[in-house]
Amino acid sequence: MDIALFGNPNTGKTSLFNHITGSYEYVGNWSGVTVEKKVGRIKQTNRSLIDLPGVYSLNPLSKDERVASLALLENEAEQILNIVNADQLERSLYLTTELMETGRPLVVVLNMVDLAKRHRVTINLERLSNRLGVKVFTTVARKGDGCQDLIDFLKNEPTNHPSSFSLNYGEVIESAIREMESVMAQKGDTPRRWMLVQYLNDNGMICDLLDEKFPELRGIRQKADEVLRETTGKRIDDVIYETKMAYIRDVIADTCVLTKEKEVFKFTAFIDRIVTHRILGIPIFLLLLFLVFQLTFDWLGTPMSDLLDQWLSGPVTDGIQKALDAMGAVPLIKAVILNGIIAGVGGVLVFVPQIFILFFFISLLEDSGYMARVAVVMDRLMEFIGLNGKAFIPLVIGFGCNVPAVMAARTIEQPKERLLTILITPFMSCSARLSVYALFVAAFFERHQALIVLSLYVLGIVVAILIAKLFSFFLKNEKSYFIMDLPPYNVPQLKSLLRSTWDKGKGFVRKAGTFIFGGTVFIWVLSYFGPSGMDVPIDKSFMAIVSSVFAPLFAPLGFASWQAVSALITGFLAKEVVVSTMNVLYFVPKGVTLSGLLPHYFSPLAAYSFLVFVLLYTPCLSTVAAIKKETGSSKIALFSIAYSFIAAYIIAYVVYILGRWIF
Amino acid sequence: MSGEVCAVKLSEVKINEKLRIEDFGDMDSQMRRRLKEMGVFEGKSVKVVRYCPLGGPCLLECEGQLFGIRKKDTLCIKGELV
Repeated sequence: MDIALFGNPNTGKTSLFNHITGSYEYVGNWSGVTVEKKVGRIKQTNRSLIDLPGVYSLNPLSKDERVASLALLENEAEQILNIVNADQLERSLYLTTELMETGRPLVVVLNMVDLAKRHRVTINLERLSNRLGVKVFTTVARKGDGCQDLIDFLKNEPTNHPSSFSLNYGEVIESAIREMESVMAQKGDTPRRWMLVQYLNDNGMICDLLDEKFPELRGIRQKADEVLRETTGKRIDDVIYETKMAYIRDVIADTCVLTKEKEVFKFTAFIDRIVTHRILGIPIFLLLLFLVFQLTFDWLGTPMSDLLDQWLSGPVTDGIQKALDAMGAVPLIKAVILNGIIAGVGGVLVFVPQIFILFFFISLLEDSGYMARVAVVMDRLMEFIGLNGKAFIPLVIGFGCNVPAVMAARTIEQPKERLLTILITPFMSCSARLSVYALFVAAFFERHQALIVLSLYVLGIVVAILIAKLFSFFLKNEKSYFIMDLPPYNVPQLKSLLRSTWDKGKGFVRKAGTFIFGGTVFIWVLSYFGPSGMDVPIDKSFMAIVSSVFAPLFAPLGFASWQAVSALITGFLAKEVVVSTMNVLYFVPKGVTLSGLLPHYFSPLAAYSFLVFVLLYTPCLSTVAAIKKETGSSKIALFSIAYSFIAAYIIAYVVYILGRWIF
Repeated sequence: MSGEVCAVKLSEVKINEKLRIEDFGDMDSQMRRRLKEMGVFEGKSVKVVRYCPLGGPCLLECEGQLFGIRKKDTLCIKGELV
């Protein structure tokens, strides 16, 4: 028996999921982190729990929210676990009434009872359970309080009685429902009351579904709407809403005591006064971003990367070399392992500490609730380029990795704003590109590392803004709206932060074992063999020959060496491969680092122009695949490859020309 | 009733003042639906917490819950100061 987890955004749904299932899922604090269907096994049982995106009702506005309603329509959610924010009972119970109408077995979990207590709200659980006709549990999911009771219940009570819950919406609506039921029954369908209520409530998804099969329903709805408007002056959906709200208020009056008027928590109000300050809001965000980069590069990340590098190029390489000698490996095998794999994959692995530190801080910003504030602070700017503040969140996630960022765009309600966000997301400088920057800034800009890297991130943002503005002229015109729920701040739990950091970063490590490993071997083979056989001088290899054909194309940008061009070609696999390729192709002698060698091949300006090109050109293969999947269009995926290449070329050219003119 | 006459637009409400909502005017229907689902509807009081600069969004509070909406939507909401 599958159970599905329903609840409003920001009610601790994902925390609860993590506590009662054995496996870990990723936790965030803004609407819609759970963008995919995630299934876990409830501890000590063999029952599955489906995690669904947070919704306010069964009437979806965004693609993300559709998932929750689909789970009900397609009968994947046989039983319902409904998490309710004890501190915002009235609005949380709105979804509960909609879920109860479906008639499925349902358990209510009152979460955040600690916040409710701080607001001096007392809830009589037994009475609430009686009034709703369902079992009610209380939890503080963030800390795991109360979760064991819930597990025990789910373990011991496999059968729940379907709740028989029904509200009376008044004669006009009730007779419309009866009429619709008989139309559907005549056609041999078993009508489900909850779907008809949703239909009358103008639930677009259900309307599409039913209109196709039963075109008569539209007229019945229209008639009921006219009658209601004439007799009461109200619309059907308002009457349905008011009926539900009256029921909810009655339940709350009967079960809760509120001793004083609710206010925003002092801590949250205090932080918000600072971070959403009229003038300081945006500078504070930029400052935080800069601080994160300082920590990632100068203060923490680089020393750790250096240590790892020493270990890999010292003891590890020596050890493997000795092992290979002892086994009597042939020279070809030795060369592929030592010069190909260790140089290439190792060259990327040294950036693992920096990447994990960056992901740690992105998780921190998300889990604390700050990200939702950033969306509000940025809305004005985003509106100007034809997007809304919510689009800013995928863009920030893009700093970590473009793939989840493209997927996170699902929370954006309007299809065109969503498409636009997907198209500009790849300009957000992801952590893979970071490894290229880290290599180059160490070689060329040792004294201004964080500043140079920040300039690239900012350039990515500026280009994204300009391109969005440009595209919005072609893609315009649908109504844009913005509404953002701001949850109270909470101090993130270290354990959950570390887990979500690992969740995000593991993809990078996995890529090192697959794409980068494969790409490196491939590059090494192409550079080891040439028309005249194997073990040719590297500039007579196939790699050199192929890349030299394209190299002149990049002369105007300042870097026409065939190695740089090879690195760009292979970088399409994954941008880290640029680093592995260079490690293989420049054939770094022992005792010298690649960053020590690079100044022989690039001028500092050409190096910067190369970085600009790496930042902007064609998204990596995984991102292109994500774009295709999310937009459902190969054309858009191909378009994103082409236009970003052109944009990269033009901008790197301008940077190079301007640079030469200035210096 | 004098409600029509002395109705105040939400956009005219000063920071830290409260408005009891009477009417959503011609607000976009999806926007209005989402507000209702978040527990903001006729009869509820909202407090203005902050206006973002350059015509940016407005931060509001309703029963301890914070949310942000755009300025153009605050023009639609009318009510009575409380």
